[in-house]
Amino acid sequence: MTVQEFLQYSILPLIFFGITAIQALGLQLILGGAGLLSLGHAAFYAVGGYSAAAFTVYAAPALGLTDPTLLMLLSLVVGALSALAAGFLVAVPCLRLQGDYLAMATLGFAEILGTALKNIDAVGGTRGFGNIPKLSSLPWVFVTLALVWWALARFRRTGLGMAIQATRDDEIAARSLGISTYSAKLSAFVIGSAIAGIAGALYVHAVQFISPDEADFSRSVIIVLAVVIGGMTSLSGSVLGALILVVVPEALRHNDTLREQRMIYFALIVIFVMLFSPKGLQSLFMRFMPKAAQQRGGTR
Amino acid sequence: MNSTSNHGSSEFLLKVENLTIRFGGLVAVQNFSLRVPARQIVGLIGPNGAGKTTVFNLMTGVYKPNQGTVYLQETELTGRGAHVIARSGVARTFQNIRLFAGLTVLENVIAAASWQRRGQSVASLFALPAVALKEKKLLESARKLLEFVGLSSYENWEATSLPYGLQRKLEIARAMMTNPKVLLLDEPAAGMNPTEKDELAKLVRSICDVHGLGVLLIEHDMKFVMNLCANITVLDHGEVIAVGSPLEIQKNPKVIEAYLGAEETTGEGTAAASGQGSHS
Ligand SMILES: Nc1ncnc2c1ncn2[C@@H]1O[C@H](COP(=O)(O)OP(=O)(O)OP(=O)(O)O)[C@@H](O)[C@H]1O
Ligand SMILES: [Mg+2]
Repeated sequence: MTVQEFLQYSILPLIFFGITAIQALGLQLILGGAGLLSLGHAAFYAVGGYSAAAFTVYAAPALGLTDPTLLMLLSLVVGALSALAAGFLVAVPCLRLQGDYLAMATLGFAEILGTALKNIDAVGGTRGFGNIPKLSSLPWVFVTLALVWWALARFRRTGLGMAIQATRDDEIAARSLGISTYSAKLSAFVIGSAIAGIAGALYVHAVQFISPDEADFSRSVIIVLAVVIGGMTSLSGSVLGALILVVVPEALRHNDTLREQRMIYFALIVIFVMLFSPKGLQSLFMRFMPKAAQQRGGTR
Repeated sequence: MNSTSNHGSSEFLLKVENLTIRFGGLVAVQNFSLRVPARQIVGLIGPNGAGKTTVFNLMTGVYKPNQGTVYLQETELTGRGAHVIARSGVARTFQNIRLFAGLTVLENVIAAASWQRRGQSVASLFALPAVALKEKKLLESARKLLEFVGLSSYENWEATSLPYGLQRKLEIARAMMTNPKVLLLDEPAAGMNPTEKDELAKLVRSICDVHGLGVLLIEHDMKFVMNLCANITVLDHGEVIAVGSPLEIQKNPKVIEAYLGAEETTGEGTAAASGQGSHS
């Protein structure tokens, strides 16, 4: 295989990796940042993807927008805002209540969304939404990934970022310091959902297609696995987790039985991580790194 | 105490009247009243399970009282959300230390300024000059508070890896970062050795004298309480059995009986209760 062939083969897996990494970064804020369990992260990703696609396919021509860069930027905004709004609608009633209703509600939302999308003809129904203009590409995905990563790393130091982490660690103490734990959790959830929506917008304009399967529970599980395997409390861990979850199936591409059993291997990796490195693979790597590098990297 | 004065008398920072709360059949606190003036340390003592921590929880909005009122100067706080009460100027520490385990020592203090930074997250994300000065000041005051409690050299430690006594001091620094008018301390000397207790006493003194706060102090160490407090309220089975100066309290037969009674009848029981209650 020549270098050129290799590059050609790897473009799609690299795009998938970048998309999964962005999704995982969004979920990391929800799961590791706020300590909330979302089992429907892929559904917010699908909301973003479908909305962004509907925008470029239907709304943009009507508005007379043609510039591809502008269109892609606008579709990112549409993807983010639609997923944010969906996240808001799902989270508000759950967070108002005491107890862990969020996991159930997100699961339910994913089911409802999947069924709804299958029945909307304008976005292709069960066949999926095709003929989406090719606006994004590998560089778009990686630049966005880098920006999201950078922004989330800085976000931790902001007032809201600190409030979210304090709420995760101890709600009673957080409230005793003037933090509205309700707003902190809601903010983490909607921002994480919006990031999933951004991933959706990038995805649909890179592969020019999206189907209701993207909202499926199994997709959400993959993202949860990426965050847990990589290390819930670290951003680099989530990217690492995404890399593992995309590379492993790709490496098994020519072996059908192994490929079909891939969830078993993921489950084994999760058990391994839980047993030997509860803070995720990222922290396992940190242990073997020189002290100086650890200081810079930080595990939080 | 004269009960005829209106709410909002500025003599007292914190004014609590007739607080009552029931948990199912148990009346945990009944008709509890107390006042905390500025620049004074008020003591709240009583045997295990008397209801002291519950009083703190009622004043800080963790529990809503069945009856009674809580005022901070002119502002009524009764039944309001815990974060609203904190923002109005009532800060506290916890008997079973509640630090943020995922954050460093410095971050624990900075986290207490979160609400003061609200609405600025986008600006601080991009390090805009508009907020740079304010953030620098917050960092400075966080460091000053760490210095004040003697934790400067532990800035980057994981908060929960500190020794017990230092964790209690960190909780004090964190509470003070909210710029409170009144500070409620729930057994701050628990688990400290005599030298640490002396240092802590000095610290609490200067919170009062230098920072001008009113302090309400729950403490089992009688020497500690008697030395620091101008005024002491004694609680037993949820009810106030005595109010007065340290000398008056020490001589009060009801108080002596409550403490002796607790020792005689529940010599084992008391130890067990404090074992489950306080050391988590
Ligand atoms: N949330 C609750 N539900 C039910 N009962 C409670 C609750 N909180 C406190 N109590 C009860 O109220 C009583 C007073 O408890 P509290 O913790 O206020 O005592 P304390 O004076 O702080 O004791 P200690 O010195 O051991 O800390 C106890 O009998 C306790 O079991
Ligand atoms: Mg107590």
